[in-house]
Amino acid sequence: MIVKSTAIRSAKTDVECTHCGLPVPSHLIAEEAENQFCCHGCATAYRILQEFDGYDPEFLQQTRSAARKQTAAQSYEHLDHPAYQQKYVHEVSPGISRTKFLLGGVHCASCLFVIEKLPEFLPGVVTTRMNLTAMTVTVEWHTASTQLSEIADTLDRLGYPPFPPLADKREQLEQVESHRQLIRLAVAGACAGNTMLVAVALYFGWFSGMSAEFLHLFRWTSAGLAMVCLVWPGSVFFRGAWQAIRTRTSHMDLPVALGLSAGAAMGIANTILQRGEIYFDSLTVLVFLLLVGRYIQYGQQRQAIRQVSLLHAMLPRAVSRLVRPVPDADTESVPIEAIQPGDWIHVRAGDVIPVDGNLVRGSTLVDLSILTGESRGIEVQQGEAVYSGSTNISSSIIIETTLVGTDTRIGKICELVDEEIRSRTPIVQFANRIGNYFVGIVLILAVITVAIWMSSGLEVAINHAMALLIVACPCALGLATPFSVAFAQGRAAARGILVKSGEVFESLARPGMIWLDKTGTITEGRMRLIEYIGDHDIQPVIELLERQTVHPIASALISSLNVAEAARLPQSALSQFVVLPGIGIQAEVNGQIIQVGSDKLLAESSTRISDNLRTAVNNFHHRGLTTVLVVQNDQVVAVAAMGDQIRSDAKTTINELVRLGWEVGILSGDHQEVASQVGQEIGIKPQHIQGHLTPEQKLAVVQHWGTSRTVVMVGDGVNDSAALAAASVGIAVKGGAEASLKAANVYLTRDGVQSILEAITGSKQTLRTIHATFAISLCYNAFAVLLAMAGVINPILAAILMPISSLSVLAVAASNRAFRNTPSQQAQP
Amino acid sequence: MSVIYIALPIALFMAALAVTGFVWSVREGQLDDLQTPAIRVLEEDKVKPKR
Repeated sequence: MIVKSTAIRSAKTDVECTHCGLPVPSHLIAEEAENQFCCHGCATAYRILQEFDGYDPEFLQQTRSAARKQTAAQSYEHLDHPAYQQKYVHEVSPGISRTKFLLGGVHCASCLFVIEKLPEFLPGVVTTRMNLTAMTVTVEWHTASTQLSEIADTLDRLGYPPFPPLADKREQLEQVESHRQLIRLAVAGACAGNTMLVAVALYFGWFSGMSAEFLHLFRWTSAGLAMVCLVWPGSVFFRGAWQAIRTRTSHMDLPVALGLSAGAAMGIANTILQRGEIYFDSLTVLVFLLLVGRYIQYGQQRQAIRQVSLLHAMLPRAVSRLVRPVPDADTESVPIEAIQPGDWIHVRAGDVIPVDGNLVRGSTLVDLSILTGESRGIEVQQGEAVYSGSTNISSSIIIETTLVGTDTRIGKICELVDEEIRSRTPIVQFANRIGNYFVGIVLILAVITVAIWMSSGLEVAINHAMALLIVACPCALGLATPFSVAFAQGRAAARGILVKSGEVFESLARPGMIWLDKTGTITEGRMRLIEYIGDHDIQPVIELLERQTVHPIASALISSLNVAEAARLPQSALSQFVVLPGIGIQAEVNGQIIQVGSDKLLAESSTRISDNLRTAVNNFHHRGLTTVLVVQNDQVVAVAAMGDQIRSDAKTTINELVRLGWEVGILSGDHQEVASQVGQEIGIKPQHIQGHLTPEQKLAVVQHWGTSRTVVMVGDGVNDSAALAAASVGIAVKGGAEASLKAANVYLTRDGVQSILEAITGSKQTLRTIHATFAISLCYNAFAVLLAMAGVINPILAAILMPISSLSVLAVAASNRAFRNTPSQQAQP
Repeated sequence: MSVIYIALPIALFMAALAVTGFVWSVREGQLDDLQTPAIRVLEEDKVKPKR
């Protein structure tokens, strides 16, 4: 009997949280459940609203045990260690301490409610205050009645694993910078507002007459306000311009500073000479608007960086160290910083290995995908090396530390990334290129204007030249890019696409080469059953056997086989359970000897296999799948093929990318055969599929392609990060390692490759908008300059026209439709 | 002497006061998190048992 089980799921992003309506992360989707929740906060809030009218202990117990199933049981004892307490805990008043945690798993408002209800759950906690922007919680508790580890444990069980707050220094620096920007905004805003008020009085005086005394008072007042505005908040532009001159690079600050100083010089001269127009109202408003644009942009960047550092904090902080280097010694929980080479460390099954070292006891399977991208578990025997960052899958082990911190293999790769980021030559932005010429042209035209009008007298000539400088003030040009980029960044972020810099839009708008990592990008990054051939009736027996072990293949088999509750065999049916090291497991079930394991079972001479199944096994191997054999009384009765499932949206997305003119390829650390199989299935040209690459080789491939055109690298592992940094655009996908996120300029928070397509179409639209705003402001400037040279425009008219051009540019930038459509609309552009 | 000479400095002084207040609130960290307070007000003070 041949049974085929093709397990293809529907697109993950379609599932909405029953409570808040946000998309549900794929690992939290409860199959066949009526209600789906994006987080425990929503689940709890929903149940509170639906089912009961207060916090009864039974309900809390249920919630907690549900939460416990989701998160790996982790010990928080290290938080009570004096070293930790000294660093992160402050005493606010006698007996009451305060600390801060970074929380994982926070999604929405419901989370906030649940977390801030902590004092009701846990006696001894005084207050909990959540900060959704920083994803941190501040907890105050009575040190006498409860311990920090207990608080952390409760938060974890509610579904929010706590981590120590980020490196204080950087966070503080950012805080200071943000404060500085806000204060500059406030001062510029106040100056602009008051100058405008004075300007209103002046305009009234212009029409209805005003005594010279008041006229001068008002003019000097606005001159004073404008000076404050230019010297304090406006100094940013002058410093930027000065730097541009010193380094001989062009920068948008240069024309802005020139425009500001020309206007200010003219205004001051006219104020002192008591004639003509002053432009202080326009100048102060200009400074204010420019700063608003900058603040928005800065805020977006900070948000993106924060999302990234949250993952950084998810690496293990606490290590279980053996007190003496002998296998049977007791263990103690210590912070990772305390580990030295030579220490013996105990790593449980399912934990991330914190250091590089050698296995001194036990043998296990290790998931190296973060380093190599290989999705299969690697067997490690006693005496062999293990690397930090990889996950210990199958059994408890003891490691002798050889390297720690930045000396480790993962640390070295991170250093490579840092170097790559530093050595990256900045792409000269379109605005800067134009701005460069613009400044020169305007200056030359101003000189020409003076020359033309010289015959009418110096004052007239200077007047017309000044009108030209004011009217040609490249404020619209300076605003166009930052505003368009800021708008696009904001909207993209709302759609789960975090863009670090505006250059990305420019690069992504032109088709080039796009390299995709396989594991976790094109595929889901975890094992599942692809096909099952053989005896269907033995499935309950397999399920019973696999339930005895913790192993990724075992858990994948259990969830994929999906044996009905009624068909399950009782534990009593099983006897003589043994683990065959490196091969599989064996037990006696109802008098039959059953073995479940890898094809190494075939090496035993007694094992028999039918030709039919042997062909199937070879076929699976050819397709790069991992086979699990089921042997009943020395006869192979069933074969399960396990593999990494290709994402459901991969094929359509790649077809669409090709249609848009992109060349698509795969760079994988996994075996060539696996990569080829996946590539073939989603329609990638064989010559663009490269498997079995080391991180260094990936970097080399990207660099090789990167000389002549846009090269996009999409990946998630640390093994991709050097390549991500080297590419013109690096896109890190969700669930990626911290280093890859640092290296990339785009971070996708949603599953699947669909977002890549969205980023590309959105970039195209954004670049089009930027070009449109340029066209408008350049046309306006050209026209106005001509009028000024002809002497038609006087400086006051110029000062009125100037903000109009800025506003029109802003309006066009705001009307950009990029990243506004729903995902389903994006799929069929 | 016109009232303007008194009114104008007063206006400027008040503006300076407002800016000082804003600067103080920024330094105090009141503007660090603009997201949470907006959501926090949606929560009821106490869940009241119906029965």
